[in-house]
Amino acid sequence: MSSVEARIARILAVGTRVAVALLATGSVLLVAGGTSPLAPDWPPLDLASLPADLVALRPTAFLWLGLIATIATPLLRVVASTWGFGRAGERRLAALGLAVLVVIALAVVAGSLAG
Amino acid sequence: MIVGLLLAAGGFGAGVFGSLLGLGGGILIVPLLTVGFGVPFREAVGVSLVCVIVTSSAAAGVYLERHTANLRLGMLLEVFTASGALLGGLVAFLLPERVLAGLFAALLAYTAFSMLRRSRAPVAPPSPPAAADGPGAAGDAGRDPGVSSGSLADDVAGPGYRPRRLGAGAGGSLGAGVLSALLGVGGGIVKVPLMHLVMGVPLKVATATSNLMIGVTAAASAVVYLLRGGIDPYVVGPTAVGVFAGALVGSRLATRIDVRILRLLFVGVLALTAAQMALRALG
Repeated sequence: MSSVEARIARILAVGTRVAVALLATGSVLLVAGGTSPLAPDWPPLDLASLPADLVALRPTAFLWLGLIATIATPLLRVVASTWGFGRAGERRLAALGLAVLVVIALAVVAGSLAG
Repeated sequence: MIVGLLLAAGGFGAGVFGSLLGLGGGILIVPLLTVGFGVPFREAVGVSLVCVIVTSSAAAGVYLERHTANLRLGMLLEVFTASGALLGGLVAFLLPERVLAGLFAALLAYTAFSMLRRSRAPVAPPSPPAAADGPGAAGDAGRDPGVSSGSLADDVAGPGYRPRRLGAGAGGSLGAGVLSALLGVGGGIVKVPLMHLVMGVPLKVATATSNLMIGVTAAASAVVYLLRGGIDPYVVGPTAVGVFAGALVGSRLATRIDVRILRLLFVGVLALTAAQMALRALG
């Protein structure tokens, strides 16, 4: 296996496990606290209060962080591929990786503006 | 407590069946949440996208380790699937939920039809993981980094094959991205035939590469859903954990179960679910 593929496989394996562990912790805390997962009003994502909520063991903080880790894992894979192909001098493939990251950046902008 | 366990159990079942039948979890999770738990369709799609990323990331690492996925081809087509997913993620909030439910019913019916057709075909014995390392199946193995022989098709070629009709592949990938974002599915039902039949990529590589691409594709639309408040973290937690565990169990059961019978049973379930979704679409 090439070093790029090996690195990516490791990123995906670790990222998935961390994300699922966070989601599992949040789910257990949620249910233990007596809140139904089908409760209609969930607190919105607030990045500023996330560290304090984690320290306070609030379930929503673990769930949001797990969700962010889930979405970030394949994106880290693109960053690692782009970096690896760039270092290997494969400019066209590195440019493709950059193009994907630009699309994701546009999704962030579009989601923020529309939200 | 009970609801949390039921969501996790439902996710587990979707993960097991999805893994056994080679489907992404999305085609099972959206009906499970909408029909089974009364979650609004668009929120179910948001949850499903997260679950689909989890299963894709877990499986893609294994495919890369086995050299089955073509990372280079995946990176090329991802530009288009991610663009389609961004577009679909924005359009999804403009369409009435009944229209989305109708589209989903059509997708379920098509999947049931495809599975029925496959169940009539002879099933090849499952090949050991090592077979994926053979000629014609590998991704990046054996390539010299930095050596580019000219065209883009050469850049994304694998041992024993050179993808053709890149333009059609790009167009189809864009459509797969839109479908994924609108309906919360991985889009493998479009990408695998596209890569295999249109672009001439070996089936095993097409399947693995499609799986690799699902994570990034779904992430592009999940970002839009997340920032627009379309993902319910309470429902995501137990469902995604269940799907992850189910996919792990399913991958271990795959070699011990006669998938043909399972597939036939599942066709019936899909047809029933399609009917329920169609009724929902019709109000």
